[in-house]
Amino acid sequence: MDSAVWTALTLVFDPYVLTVMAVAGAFGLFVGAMPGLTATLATALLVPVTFFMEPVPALAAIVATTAMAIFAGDIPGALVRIPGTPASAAYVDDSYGLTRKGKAEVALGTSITSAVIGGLFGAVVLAFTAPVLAEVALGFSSFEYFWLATFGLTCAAFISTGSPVKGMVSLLFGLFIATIGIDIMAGQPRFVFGSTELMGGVSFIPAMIGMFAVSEVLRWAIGPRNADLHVRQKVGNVFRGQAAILRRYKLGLARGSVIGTAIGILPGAGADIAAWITYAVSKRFSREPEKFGTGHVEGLVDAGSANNASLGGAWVPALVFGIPGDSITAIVIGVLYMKGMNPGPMVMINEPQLLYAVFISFFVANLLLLPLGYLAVRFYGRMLDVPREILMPLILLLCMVGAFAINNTLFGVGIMLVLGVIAFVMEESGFPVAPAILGIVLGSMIEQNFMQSMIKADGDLLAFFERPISAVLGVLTLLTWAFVLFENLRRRKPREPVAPRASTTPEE
Amino acid sequence: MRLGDGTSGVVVIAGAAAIAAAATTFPDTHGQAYGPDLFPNIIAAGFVLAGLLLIKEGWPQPDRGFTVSLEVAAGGGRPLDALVVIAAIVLFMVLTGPLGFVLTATLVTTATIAWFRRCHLLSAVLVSLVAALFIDYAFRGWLLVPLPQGPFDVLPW
Repeated sequence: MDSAVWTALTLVFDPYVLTVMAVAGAFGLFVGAMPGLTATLATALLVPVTFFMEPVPALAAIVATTAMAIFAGDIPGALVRIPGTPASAAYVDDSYGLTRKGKAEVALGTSITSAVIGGLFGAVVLAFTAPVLAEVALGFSSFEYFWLATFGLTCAAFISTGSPVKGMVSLLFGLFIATIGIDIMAGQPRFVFGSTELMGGVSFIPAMIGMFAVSEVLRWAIGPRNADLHVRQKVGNVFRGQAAILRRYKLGLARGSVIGTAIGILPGAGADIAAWITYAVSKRFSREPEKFGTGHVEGLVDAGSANNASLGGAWVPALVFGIPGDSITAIVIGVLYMKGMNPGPMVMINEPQLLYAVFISFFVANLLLLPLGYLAVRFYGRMLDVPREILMPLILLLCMVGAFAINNTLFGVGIMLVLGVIAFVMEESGFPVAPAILGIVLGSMIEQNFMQSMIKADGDLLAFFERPISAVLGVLTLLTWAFVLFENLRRRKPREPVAPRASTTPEE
Repeated sequence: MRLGDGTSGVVVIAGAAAIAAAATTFPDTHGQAYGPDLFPNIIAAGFVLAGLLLIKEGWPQPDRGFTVSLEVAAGGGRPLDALVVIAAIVLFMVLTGPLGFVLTATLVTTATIAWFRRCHLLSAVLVSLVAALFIDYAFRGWLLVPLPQGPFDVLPW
């Protein structure tokens, strides 16, 4: 066996790493199962702890947390008709409909098994495509990297958001935040206003905690409070009858896994979009489309596998090119940079065991989902008993400690507060937040590649289109921008208002 | 707080002007045609374009154009509760240094829980104290983060 694979196996099957994965998985299940708390928030709260770990347990913890949180969002969807995360919203009528028919076990069992199968499929695609693509990426120069990152950000800003212009503003805001501090090319301090603490730039972790977690706490504080939720259904053995369901809908399961993985690979589109699109496709090709939304298991199988499959897919561009596929992998990229590892094809050359460890972690996390998911379903009633009025102040406390811990300074807490308030106002006004985080993570890489390319080409912009891959990516990016601009200018009537939380954030 | 599309456009263009103005103060890099102001200026140009498009979108909408609303998209409307969250963070920043983490975290979390839940003070204090001690042990004792201890350096870890 390849020595790197063997090293990765020993790294992941270390009792410490497995314990970290189990604890992180339980944490992900809890956060994902609480209505209103997202998988991205779970990752944001976890990162300050992973900051102090070795790379393998840190990445394995993030993989386990997200896989569990995306599944756990299905539990409140099925039992109280409130999706735990946006990724479970697509099929909530069907899962709750099954519960109303007295088939809560079927709904939850299907959620677990289709999530495991979709997640494993995404992991297989990740394991087989990442090394191949990394070989291709080795030939990339600063021109290709510039266009690739720009194209990724363009997709994130335009494709997944309700208003492309607002996505663009969010992205530019992130890129601007990334310019704060010492300029990497000339060593010139920019936008620091005399602050020595801003010289090193805006730390990514306080920024991320502020934009994803503090804004969430603010939204909860100011918004309507749900009355206390209670689970009235007794849930028995969720795995009974699952083999027959999976056999019956095996085609949909495969289709959901493929679509989910493909959407995950697309920059900017995450688990929620994967679930919505797969649900729509499933309904379109179903023999019983009229049953969708009434407690039919077919859409649940397809979309339930798609949202977990997208997680593995999103890691492909993140690990191969250093371009995140969604907001969670943007956080992962930030973690890798903080650990001094530049995500990209060189990781495959220098530290292949790390990549293999991530692949193996995906398999382990998805298999852990079977027992942990089962336990979460059994004890869900007790989880819901934790009052939100106590949970939210505790989350706030964790946010403050996490923002402090990265640089051991209260300045980080200040950054968290400022960006949290800005993100709250942005989301209230219909601006998505995820493109801003992608901009913060990729800003310095884009600027560095852009400036290097400009110096190499002596300012000749045509040089950005001279190499074949660079030309294709450049033309694709420019066409996307031109199309969006043209559409915006052509449209006379304004768009209908879009619910800020429903479709403007590609946040899981 | 919600900004109408037109208002957002004006704010974005004002931000672009501020970025461009600050970028004019960056010195040229000797021997290079492209200095540290190039990328911020490109961002500012993008902001201007986006701001104009937002103004165009907001122009024909009397209800969502040039407005600033204190309403919340999800309903509810408890701005005072949001201010409590912000005040809790500011208090944490001010008090952690002089009082230490455990005491500050207990105080701030107790106040926040008591405000939101309007529950019995004793139960809020107990929950907050246990959480503060657990986090202090996890971060200072286990992860070796130097959380301020303040004048009460009595904890065994």
